[in-house]
Amino acid sequence: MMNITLKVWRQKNCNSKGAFESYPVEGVSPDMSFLEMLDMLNERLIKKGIEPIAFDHDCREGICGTCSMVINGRPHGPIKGVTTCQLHMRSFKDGDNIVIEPYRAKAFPIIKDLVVDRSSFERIMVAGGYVSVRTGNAQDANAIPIGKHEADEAFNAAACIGCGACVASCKNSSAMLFVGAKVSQYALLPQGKPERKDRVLNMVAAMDAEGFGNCSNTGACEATCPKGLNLTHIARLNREYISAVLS
Amino acid sequence: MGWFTKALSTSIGKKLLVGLTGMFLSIFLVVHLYINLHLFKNDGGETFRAMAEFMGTTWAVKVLEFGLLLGFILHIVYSILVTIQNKAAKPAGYGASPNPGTSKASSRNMIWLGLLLGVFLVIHLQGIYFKAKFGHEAHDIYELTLSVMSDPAWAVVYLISMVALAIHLKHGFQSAFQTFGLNVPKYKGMIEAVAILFWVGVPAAFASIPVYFAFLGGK
Ligand code: SF4
Ligand code: FES
Repeated sequence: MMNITLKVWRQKNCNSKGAFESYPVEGVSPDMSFLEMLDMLNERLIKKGIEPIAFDHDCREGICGTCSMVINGRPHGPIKGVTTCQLHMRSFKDGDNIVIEPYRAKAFPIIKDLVVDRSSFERIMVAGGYVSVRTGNAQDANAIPIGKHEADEAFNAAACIGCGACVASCKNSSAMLFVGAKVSQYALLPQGKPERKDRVLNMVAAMDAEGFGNCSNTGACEATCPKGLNLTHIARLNREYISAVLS
Repeated sequence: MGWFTKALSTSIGKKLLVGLTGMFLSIFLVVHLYINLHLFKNDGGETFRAMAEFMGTTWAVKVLEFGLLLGFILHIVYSILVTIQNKAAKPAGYGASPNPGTSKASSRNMIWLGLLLGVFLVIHLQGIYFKAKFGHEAHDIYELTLSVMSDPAWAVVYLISMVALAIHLKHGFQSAFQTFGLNVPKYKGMIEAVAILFWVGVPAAFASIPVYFAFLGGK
């Protein structure tokens, strides 16, 4: 069992100021997930009549992208390629001080404690993150041939779970890795090609309107993305944008 | 024309403009360096003078000079616009400092390196270019340049500026290709190799001139 100290950002609502609070947590099992450790702390806080720490989570298996927090200065914590919900306390040591804060970005306003409003991502998706398909029977899987390389790259892009860690880690709060992933996953596949031009123009416009910053190629996003997306998706976004503007 | 200005006003458009103007300025750097290196030629400045004469009197060069001024202005203005937007997008930082190694220092400090280079640009325009072009007394461009290059105080300023230039180019040169969408696995190695050659080679070659004349006793 481990004893740790958490320094957690507490903020009542979007209008209040917020500050760090320290909480010693005793009896932490190394087998606990990070969120289970927070659950345990919350139960103890409730018993003491203290408002539990609000944080986002849903699937707890690394696929929904809901768990959002910055652990020791890094979204999703210290382990590469791992979401917060899949992070385990064995990644920390007895006696550790762990700082937990919400994502920081103008386009992700804080709702409460560690919970931020990421509906700006939804609005970017609504602007073009889809393929308009007529309903009907599913086609035969081999009716549209797709090259292995394209299929793999589209799959890599589609691995993005929309968690927003790229925005959180970027010093400019740029959403270009996310948008690059979404634009890529469609642009690479035949089904997405007919709408690729409008898609990239509309999604970039939506991204700008939400107040995300500009990519300055620092690479913090690819270093923190739990799904291993890299800057080639941003290069593709730029390429798609340039060809959409010029064609 | 509307589509064009609209495209340049978006986040990617602004970056494109910074990248394109940066590339243009980089080409100019190479031309400038090519001329400067003729200071090493042992012909009493004949070639250097002829080149300066050509640069100062040919109308095509004069047109390019306007382009250069425009390039500088756009590069600076758009970089500032982008930086202001970026700062506004991140209203608060983090309490815990982020893991080191998740981003490169050069990428985080482009605007400050740029500012330093801007100051150097003004100093060196004032020290050489304006004096030769608009100065009251007639200056021999070769003698003037040599006297400036042989001044140790100036050489130190020059060297510091070349370090700033190197770091600025280190990030900028490669970043421009990323912004143009060309930084794909196929070209990545090639771009990286040219980038190293460029960000190390160009500032080092520029710096070799004051080092030679101010510190190594070159005449
Ligand atoms: S690109 Fe990576 S970090 Fe960004 S939203 Fe998608 S999964 Fe999260
Ligand atoms: S809770 Fe779904 S990815 Fe973490």
